[in-house]
Formats: sequence, C-alpha cells, structure tokens
Amino acid sequence: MKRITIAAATAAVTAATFGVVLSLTPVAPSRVAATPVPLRLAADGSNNVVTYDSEGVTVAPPITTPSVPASAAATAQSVMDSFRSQQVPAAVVGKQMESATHTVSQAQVTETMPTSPEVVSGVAYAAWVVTYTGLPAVSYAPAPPPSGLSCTFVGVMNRATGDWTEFFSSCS
Amino acid sequence: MPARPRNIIRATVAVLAAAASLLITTPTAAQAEVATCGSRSPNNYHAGFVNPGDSNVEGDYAIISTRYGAVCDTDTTANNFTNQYAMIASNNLAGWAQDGYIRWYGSSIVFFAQQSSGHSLNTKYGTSGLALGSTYFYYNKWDSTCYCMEDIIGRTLYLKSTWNPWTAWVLPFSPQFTGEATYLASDLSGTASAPANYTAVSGQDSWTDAWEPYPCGQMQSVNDGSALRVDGKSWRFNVTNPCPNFNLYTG
Repeated sequence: MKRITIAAATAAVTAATFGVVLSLTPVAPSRVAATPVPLRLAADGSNNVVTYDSEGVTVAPPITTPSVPASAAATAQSVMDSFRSQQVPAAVVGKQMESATHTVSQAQVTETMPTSPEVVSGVAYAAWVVTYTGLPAVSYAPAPPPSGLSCTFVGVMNRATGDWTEFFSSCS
Repeated sequence: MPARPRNIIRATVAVLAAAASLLITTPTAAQAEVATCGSRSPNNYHAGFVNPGDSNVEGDYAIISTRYGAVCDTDTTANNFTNQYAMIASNNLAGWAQDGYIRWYGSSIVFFAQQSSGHSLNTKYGTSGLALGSTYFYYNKWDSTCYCMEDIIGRTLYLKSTWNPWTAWVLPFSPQFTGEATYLASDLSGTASAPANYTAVSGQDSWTDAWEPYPCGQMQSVNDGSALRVDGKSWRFNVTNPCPNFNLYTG
C-alpha cells in the first residue's frame, strides 16, 4: 500500500526571479460524482413495479405462462411451506413468520445482480415473491443499525424450478 | 404421466440435498458453546484486525475459510448469530459495507453482505449452505464508474450501494477483518485444528483504486472474547505468515 502517492500529486510551478519553486500538493482523485447518483427508495413502486436498487431486483406483475410450475411453486400455500423451511427466512423472520404482515404473490422478476446460477442477469423469469414488512433491523457490524428503520424481507422463488433465488432485506 | 417420475426425482434430490446440508454443517464434538447467552452488546463482540482510520484505503478484501461456530441457546432470534467478514466502514462506524458468512441459532452457514449509508440498511443472503473448509474471496469494492460501494463474494455481486461512501461516510474509512458474535457465550467459528483462516488480506488504494496487500503493522488486533468463559474456552486470535494474515477460533 502506498503511503505517499506522488503520481496523484499536482505540480504547481512558480517561476521566481532566481529559480523555480516546485510545489507538490497531494490531491485525491475525485470521489464525488459531477451529477448526483440517483437516489431512490428501496422499494419505489410505480406502475405496480417495485425495484430494489441495492439488491438489483425488479418485481413486476406476472405474465401468463403456460409452463407447468415446479411442485413447490404450485400454489401460494406450497410456496409458503417451502419458505418456512428455508434457513435464512427461518432465522431472519423467525418467530414473526406467522404474525408479521406479509404477502405471497406471483410476479415477473428481473435481476441485474443474480446470486443464483439459474438466473441470468437482465432476463425476466416467472417467480413467486414472498414479502414481509415491518421487521426490525439487525446490524452485522460493530454498531447498532440506524435508528428508526423498518425492514422489508423478500424471498424470490423461481416458478419453473421451485428453487429460491434471492433472500434479502431492505430497510428504510 | 411424466409429472410423477419428475416429482420422484425431485423428491429424491431434495432428500439428498437435505442430507448433504446436514453433512456440511454438522459441528464436531470439540465445538460447544455456552448454553446461556447472558447479556449482549448493541455493537456485538469482535476479534480480528481493525484499522480505525486509514486514508489510503477505500475498499478491502480477504479470503476466509468457512468454519462452523456454535451459538448460545437461550436466544433463538435473528439477533443471535456468529459470523466472519471483511468490512470497510465510516470512521464513526455509522455506515459500513461488509460481506462474509453467517450462522444463526439452528441454521446452516450462508453468505451475507450488508451495507449501510448511515440512514439505510440493505442485506442480501446466500440461498444455500456453505461447505465446511471451503474458501471464498470477500470484497468491499469502491467502484469509480458508479460512485458506489460493491459487495462481491467470489465473482458474484451481492450489493451495490445507491449512495456514495465518500459523501455519506466520515473519512478516513476504517477497514476491519473480524469474526463477530452477538454474545460472548457463542463461539467464533473454527477450532484450534481447523481455524477460520484470513488470508490475502488486502486494501484498495484510495489513490489508484488498485488492490494491494495490506501492510503489516498497520492494523490493531482486537479480541472482545479473550477472557476464559465458564466452559474454560475463549476466542483466540493468532497472526500467521505472512502478516497480516490471521486465524480465529474458539478453544
């Protein structure tokens, strides 16, 4: 790691009567965008489309598909049965699994940052989306979470395979 | 009926997958946390290497080996976890970007990434359990093309901030490589013979954006769990070669 970076320095040369004074002033490269990074709420719904920008997930209304769903994706009940058995929602939603406000609905999901190998970036797929709202924030850092946050936990199941492709929490 | 054979195959695969999941996450006899959780800290408890403020670093990464850690038994909520991660944070710790692996009470081990601007909190998890002994790169990367912070595990992008850490956070940033648990009664993952091993500990140069090995002697060691517990064990932190690689475990 460089402790002194000359390459990033700007040289100011001042001509003087009896010589040249070279002044090296370290200047960090700009880290502030000329135009502000667009800030959107985690779930900024318009036209029934919800986008989770940080997670790279867009949830749109479902399109009719003739394909046969996987058995786990056959009904809302089978989806919830699978959801409850998953380690991450069982831990994160936990004892609020039944009591917290939640929805389970079919959707067309597009991801720009897929973590599942069966999802292709930018290619929409038929899915079930389980959404819990009003959950408390949990910090995994050496500090409490920002105060006043309310969290939405989302699980996405690929309708064709019955596999869970995303689990994430967005708090605002 | 084509559906039935498919279902049988799927059910068989599901059973095998469940069995495999148990195999990869079953603890060894040497690992046994203290059952009663006791009191907790709102900041959680940590062991590892930390630099409270390094103006030369804007991101970081490490390779961390996957190890099992038991957690105490009297808190079965999402607040009871043990994890290992690389992190870059605001100097006042009011915001951060981190990624690593995590285990809660009764769960397998999964990837996690979390970011906070100081006013928001986003967390993404892996959807399948990790194999014990597996190793992964965990990056917290400043990306000058989006003016954002990215959490990358292996080659997979987990989170991408919608905010600029250079304006959202207090400078200089704080790189941290630690194991963490909610309770000192819980274990940091790893044993003396199979510790959680941090290697290739690196920083992203804040002048060039390049990745470089983190210099030896530039971080402070922390261990909130160095005191012996009622079970005679404690959290252990050992520097390994080359510095600043290190091992964490409970024993």
